Amino acid sequence: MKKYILNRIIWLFFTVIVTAFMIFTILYFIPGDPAAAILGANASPAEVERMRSIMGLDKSYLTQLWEFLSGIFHLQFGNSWVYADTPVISIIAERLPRTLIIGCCAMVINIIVGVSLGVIAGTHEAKWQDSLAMTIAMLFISAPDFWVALILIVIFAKNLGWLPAAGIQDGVKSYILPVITSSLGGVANNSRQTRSSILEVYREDYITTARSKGLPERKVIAKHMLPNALMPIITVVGTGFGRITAGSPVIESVFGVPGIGLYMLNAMNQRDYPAVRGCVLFLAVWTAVVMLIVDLLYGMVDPRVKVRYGGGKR
Amino acid sequence: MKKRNKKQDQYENSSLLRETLTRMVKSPTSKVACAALCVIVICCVAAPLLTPYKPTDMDVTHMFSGPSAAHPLGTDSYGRDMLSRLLYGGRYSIALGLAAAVFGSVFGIIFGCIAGYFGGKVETVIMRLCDVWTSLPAMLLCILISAALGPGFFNTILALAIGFMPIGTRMIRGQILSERSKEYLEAAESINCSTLSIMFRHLLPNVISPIIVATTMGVGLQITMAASLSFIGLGVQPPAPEWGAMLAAGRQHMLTYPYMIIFPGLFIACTVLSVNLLGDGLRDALDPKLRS
Amino acid sequence: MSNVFLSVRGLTVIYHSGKKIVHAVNDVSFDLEKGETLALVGETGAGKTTIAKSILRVLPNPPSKVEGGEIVLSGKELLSLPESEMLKIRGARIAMIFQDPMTALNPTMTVGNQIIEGLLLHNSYTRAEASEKACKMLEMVGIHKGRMNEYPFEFSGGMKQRVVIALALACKPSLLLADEPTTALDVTIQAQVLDLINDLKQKNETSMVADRGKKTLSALQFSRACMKVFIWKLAIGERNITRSL
Repeated sequence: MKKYILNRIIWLFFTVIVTAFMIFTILYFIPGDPAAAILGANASPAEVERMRSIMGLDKSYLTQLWEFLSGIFHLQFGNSWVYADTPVISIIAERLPRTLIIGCCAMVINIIVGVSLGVIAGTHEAKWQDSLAMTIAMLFISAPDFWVALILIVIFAKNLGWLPAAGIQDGVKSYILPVITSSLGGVANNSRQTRSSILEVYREDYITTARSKGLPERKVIAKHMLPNALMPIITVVGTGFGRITAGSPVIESVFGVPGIGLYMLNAMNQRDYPAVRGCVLFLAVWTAVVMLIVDLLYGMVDPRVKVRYGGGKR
Repeated sequence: MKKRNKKQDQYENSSLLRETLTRMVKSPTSKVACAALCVIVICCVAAPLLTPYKPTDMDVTHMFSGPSAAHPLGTDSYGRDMLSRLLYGGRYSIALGLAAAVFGSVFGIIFGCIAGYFGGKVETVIMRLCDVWTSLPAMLLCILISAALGPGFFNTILALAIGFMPIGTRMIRGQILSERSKEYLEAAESINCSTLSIMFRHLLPNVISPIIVATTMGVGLQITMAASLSFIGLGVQPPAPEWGAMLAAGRQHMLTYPYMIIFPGLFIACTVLSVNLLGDGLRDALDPKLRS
Repeated sequence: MSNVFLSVRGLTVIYHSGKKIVHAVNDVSFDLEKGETLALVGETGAGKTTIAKSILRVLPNPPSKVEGGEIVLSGKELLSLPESEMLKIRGARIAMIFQDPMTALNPTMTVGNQIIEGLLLHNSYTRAEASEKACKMLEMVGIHKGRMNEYPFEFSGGMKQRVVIALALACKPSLLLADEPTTALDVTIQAQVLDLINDLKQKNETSMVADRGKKTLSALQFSRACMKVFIWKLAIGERNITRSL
């Protein structure tokens, strides 16, 4: 097992470096001068030149790349070009909790609602429960999340006045709508995957064996169907986790939540490249760590994986 | 021998098509979805016939008027007729979605074929790059590339296609892996078929079904992504009446005039729903386990 | 007549296949006395598994349906029992050994736990006691009790079938249904498993309904252990021949 984890950590490093290289290069080749963009149209050429040397833009591509990469391992992404003297990493640290709160709450909803819907649909194949559950899932996936967000704001903030329309100053209340909106797509994906996994498992012989022992159906589902259907479900939940907790710039933009997604969007528009690089790298690492945990979960759920990687006898 | 193979291929492919169509016609949801989609597409294409207004016709005397006889879906902040903007906008949104999904699949097919067929180091490099690419959430990737390329119709298609590419590559390479060990490929190789010929005439037809399904589902996804990009100011720029851009414009007035956001979103939702249901129906119809 | 343990009368089971209806079992009747063994011999698809599963009421409900007939076990009519009652009978009074040992066990549960699960359901043992009993069951079928915490994929086909047998007999059922228990196994292993079943049967005085496949040699071999042989063909043109050996 240790060898496997080591392997995955090396892979993590590799991903970080390649992602860093990619994002740096993409940003480098974007047309336009970031210094000019940040200073605005009224800046004099001298000011622009000075700004460029502050930003380090006058150095060669390789030098800049090297500075960037070496900074990563000290967790230094440089200072923001827009808010001078503020390290990007501190802005990220400040904004991270908000994104994470929304992401984690949305995941909890995803797992509970999504898997339940999927189990109901899968165990009642072709009956009305199946159709209803899958129709709900399909509707969630088809409606664009930012549109649902807008509609919810109109209903709950304007018409009913129960919840705030934007911002995070109202504590728990301000997070309710963003969480609900973020969880929609995940619920749909989870329930579809759960349903299809359960359908595959439903007709297996060992389910008949379990029933013939006299197990009530609930226990058959919980102790025999779900554990075997779990692997693909874990994959979908895991990738969804990475995606949702990374923060959707669009949702954060609609609700005015100052999180990582919105930060990256604004930074991109303002040409604040260190901030963009910092956010992208952070997200890449985050996603890779989540996938590592997902792989470890596989090992826990499926004994065949456990034995294979634990070096047990085969 | 080669001629007969080609004829056999054609016969098999046409009977596959016929069979798929027959099975899809049997499913009620597929029929409804297909019909709805056709209606939407036809309306958007035939927009000039359906509405007297052009999407850019401003009428400042009738700004913000709700649904009425003259303007069935109301007007926006410049007095432009919402219905005509939605219908013309559909051309942008649907075309974006379709083109992005198709291009993404094509890129994915190319790389997936290369990776799957050659194997070894080539495959490892391509797949590792895909893994890194997919380690970023797709939305972020599209935002970055779109911001890098700049706004515009074709730039948006490119940005979306590049974002979609790794998923396609991975899926196709997986399909090819499972087909690669089959005997008919060895047979083709043994009679000296060229590599390209093997890939296109033998390998591809057998992996085409999941590609078709994934591309169809991808269209729905890309329509939403395109709308999202336009919504946050990247993607297609105003005054183009793309549905996402309309939502962005309506957002400023939504608390006073909610109809401005209800209709564009509804159009997106209905279109994407139809495409998704169609994709589902297609997948069930093409499912080899249910065939014969 | 009061010795009749299991009585099947006029059992009819249908399968829905698309819009068609297929009669899997058509008006089958037989009796089984306590301690007797009945062999159902017939071709694949004749409906032997269906009969066994009907007795246990574990037929997959959407495609298949019991259309008619009655099954009486020691005076209780099984087909009309409420599910809650049936739960007490399955595993405890009637148990089944399945045809394909490779797929009959849950791959993500240790073999020990699978046996313990059945034991805890029908008895009021503590977990430790159930564990003890499960060990004994494994030893009875010739598996070392140290293998309790291993997973099914770590066993060979023959050993898996033994686990299935141990599972079935754990709660000492009075009726054992064996669905072609040796078909999926190697010829050499077949003999071992058959001997095991015979052995257990004698020790436990369980009545058994055993479905045998069409291979004449093995059928004869098996029917040596059976006292009644029941041969019949598919739906169209049923023939009931009951021979006592």
